[in-house]
Amino acid sequence: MSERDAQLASEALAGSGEACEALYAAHAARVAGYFLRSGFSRADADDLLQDTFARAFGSLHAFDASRGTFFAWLAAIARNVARRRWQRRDRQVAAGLDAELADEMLVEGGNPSAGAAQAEELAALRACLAALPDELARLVRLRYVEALTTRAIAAAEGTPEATVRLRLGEARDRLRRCLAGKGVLE
Amino acid sequence: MRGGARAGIYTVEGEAMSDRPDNADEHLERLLRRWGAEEAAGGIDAPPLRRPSVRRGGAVPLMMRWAPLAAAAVVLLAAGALFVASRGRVARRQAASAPPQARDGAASPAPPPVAATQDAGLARLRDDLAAMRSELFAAQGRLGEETRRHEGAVKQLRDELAAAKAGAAAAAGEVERLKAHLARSDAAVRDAVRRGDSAEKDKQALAAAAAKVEPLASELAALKVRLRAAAEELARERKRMSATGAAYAQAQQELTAAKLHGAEAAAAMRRAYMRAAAPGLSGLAARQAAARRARMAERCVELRPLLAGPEAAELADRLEVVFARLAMLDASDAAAGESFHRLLERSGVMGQLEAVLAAAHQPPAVRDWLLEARCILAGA
Repeated sequence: MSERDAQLASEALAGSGEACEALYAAHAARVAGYFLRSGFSRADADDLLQDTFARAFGSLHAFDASRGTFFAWLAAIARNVARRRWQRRDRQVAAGLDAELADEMLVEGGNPSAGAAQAEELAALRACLAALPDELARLVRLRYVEALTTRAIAAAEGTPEATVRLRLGEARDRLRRCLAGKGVLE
Repeated sequence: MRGGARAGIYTVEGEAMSDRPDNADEHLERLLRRWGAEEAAGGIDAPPLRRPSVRRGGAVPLMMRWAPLAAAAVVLLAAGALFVASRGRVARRQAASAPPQARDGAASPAPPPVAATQDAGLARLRDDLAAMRSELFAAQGRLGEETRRHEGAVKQLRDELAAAKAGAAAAAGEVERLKAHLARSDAAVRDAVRRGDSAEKDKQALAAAAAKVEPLASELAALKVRLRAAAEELARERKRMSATGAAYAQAQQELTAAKLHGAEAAAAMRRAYMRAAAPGLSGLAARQAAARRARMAERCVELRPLLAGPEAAELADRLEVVFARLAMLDASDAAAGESFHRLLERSGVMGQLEAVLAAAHQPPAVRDWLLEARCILAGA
C-alpha cells in the first residue's frame, strides 16, 4: 500500500490528476472518519477533508517517501487541519466520542505481507460478531464503529453506564471465546 | 495502554500484526479497534475531490494568485486591439465608398441595415471592452494595493521580528545577569546566614562567659590589690632582709674576728700559763708538772661544794678522773701519751668544759680552776 501510495504521489507531483484521484479515493474515507469522530459536523468534516487534501497536494514536493508513508504524512496534515478548527467543533458531540478511537482512523493498516493474516483475523471477528446477540452486537458497534464512550452509549441507550460496561465486557468475553475457538486467540 | 499497544501494531508498518499480542484481551481490543475503523471508513461516503491542483515548486509567489486574472487581461487587451483595428478598416472602407459631397460634409444618406447591425455589435463590444478594461484596471489597482499592503506587512513583520530578536537577546542577557546576580546574592545570603549563626553562637558563649567572669572580676580586682600589697611587702621584706643580711654578715665577720682574737688570746694565755707552771718542759711532762703544781685534783675536791649546776658537778667528776690518770702516766712512754689523748677525745671533757665556762654563772674560784684545767689539758 505504501509503495503504491508513494508511486501515486510521485505521479501526482508530475501532474497526474488520476493519481490525485486515486490517492483521494484510497484515504478520504478514513480521514473523513477521523474528523467525524473528532466531533465535527458532516459539513465541517467534508470541508476539512477537502482542505486536508488541498494542502497535501499543494505541498506534495515536501513529501519524502523515505521518511514515512504517504498516509502517515497525510494524517499529520489532517491533525493540523483539525487542530486549527478545533474550537469550532461540536463540544457536546465531541464529549461523547472516544478521542483514542478518533485517532484510530489515522492509524495505518498492516503491511502487505501481514495483510492476509489480518484479513483472516478480521473475517473471523466479523463471523463472531454476527453470532452475538443483537443487543450486544449493537453495543459493540456503538463503541468501536461509532466511537462513542460508554457514558455516551449509556445516555443513548437510557441505561446506567455500569450496565453498559458489564454488557460490553460480556460481549468481549463471548468474542474472545469465539475467536479462541477459531484459533485466532489463544 | 491502548495507545501503546496500537503503536506497536500499526504505526510501524514492518511490525504490523507480526508482534505477538501480550494477551488475548489486548489482541481482541486491537482487532475490535481495527474492525471499527474499517467499518467506520467503509460507511463514510466521502465527497468528490475538488480542484486537485498540485504545486510542483516550493513557495508560490503572491503574483501567481493573480495569474488567471492577468491572462484574462491579456485576452481582453488582444480583443481590444482587434476591435480598434477592425474599426479602422471599417472607417476606411466607408470613406472609400461614400460620395464626394458626403466626404465634404454634406448630409449623408441613411446607412444600410447591415452597417447598422455591425455598429450596434461594435458598440456592445466597445462597452464590453470598456467594462473589462475598467475591471482590469480595478483589479490592477487592487493588485498593487494588495502588493503594497503585503510588502508593508512583510516589512513590518521583518522589523517586528528584528525588534523581537533584539528584545529576546537583551532579555536573555538580562536573564543571565539576573541569574548571576541571584547566584551571588544567594551565596552572600548563605555566607551571611552562616556568619550570623557563628556570631550568634559566639555572642551567646561570650555572654555566658561574661556572666561567669563578672563575679570573678571583682575577686580578681581584690586579688590584684592583695597581690600589689604583697609585692610591696615583699619588696620591703627583701630590703629589710638585705639590710639584715648585711648586718648578719658584718656580725659574722666580727664574730669570726672575735673568735680568732679570743683563740689567739687563749693560746697566748695557755702558753704563758704553761711557761709559768712548767718552765722548760713540754708535752705530757709539762701537763703533769703543771697539774701537780696547781694541785688540780685536790682543788677539785675542795671546790665541789661551790659548783653551780649538775653540768658543773658532772664535769668536776670527769676532770677528777682525768687529772688522776694524768698524774699516774709515764711521761717518757709515747703510748701512754697516745692513750691520754684518746681518753680526752672519748670523754668529751673538753667540750663540756667549754660549755660550763660559756654559761658564766660559776663562782670565780671554780671559774679559775676550770680555766687552768683547760690550759693544762689543751697543752702549750
